[in-house]
Amino acid sequence: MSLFITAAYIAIAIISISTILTLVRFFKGPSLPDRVISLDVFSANLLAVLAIYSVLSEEKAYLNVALIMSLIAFVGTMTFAYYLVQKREKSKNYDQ
Amino acid sequence: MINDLLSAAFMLGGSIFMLIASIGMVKFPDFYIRNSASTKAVVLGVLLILLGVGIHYNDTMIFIEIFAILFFIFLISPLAAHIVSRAAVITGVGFWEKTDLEELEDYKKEQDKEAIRNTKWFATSEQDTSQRKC
Repeated sequence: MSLFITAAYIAIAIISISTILTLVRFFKGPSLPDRVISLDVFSANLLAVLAIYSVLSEEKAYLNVALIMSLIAFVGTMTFAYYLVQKREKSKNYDQ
Repeated sequence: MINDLLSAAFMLGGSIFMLIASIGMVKFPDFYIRNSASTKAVVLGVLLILLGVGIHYNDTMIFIEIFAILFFIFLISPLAAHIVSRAAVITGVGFWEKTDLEELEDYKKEQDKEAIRNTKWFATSEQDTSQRKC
């Protein structure tokens, strides 16, 4: 095992630890925006693991997957923010 | 050899930045502080890891692809952080007790004044005709 492959495995291990910490915030988070943000960081961690795994398996197609992942994560975050604002405005209207 | 060393160093640095981001996610006291910390560190970590991957492949097409990913992330990440924290302010997520909120209070007062100024308390005939013309 060369130095480079060892470094890639260590990087994947560190990112796995950070994914677990992100999930801790996801389960603990007191409000919905906390969970949205932790999901965003989770998808960024997944993107990094995909990029490193594409090096380990010598498969360039995983980088395309990473590109699509970043776009889908953005759409998810935007949808949750829009949902939060709309929910707030609807409950305001019902109060009146 | 130098390629491998440089690529390994970039990957390890990037993964350490991701670890710092998620430690900040767990340890910081407030949603807004967590948002600020995670956004910046995650962008830097992804940048370093993708640069390491590109240096390992040493190929033009791979670099173009990586710059596409980096372009989207640099475009998307601040936008998403801004929109989510705006939604959090609107829905009333609490602040940390030591946060200085004077400017936010001033902004809210100004907004209230604007809303009162723009409210049409009674519809006059002039306003009705002008609206019809538009």
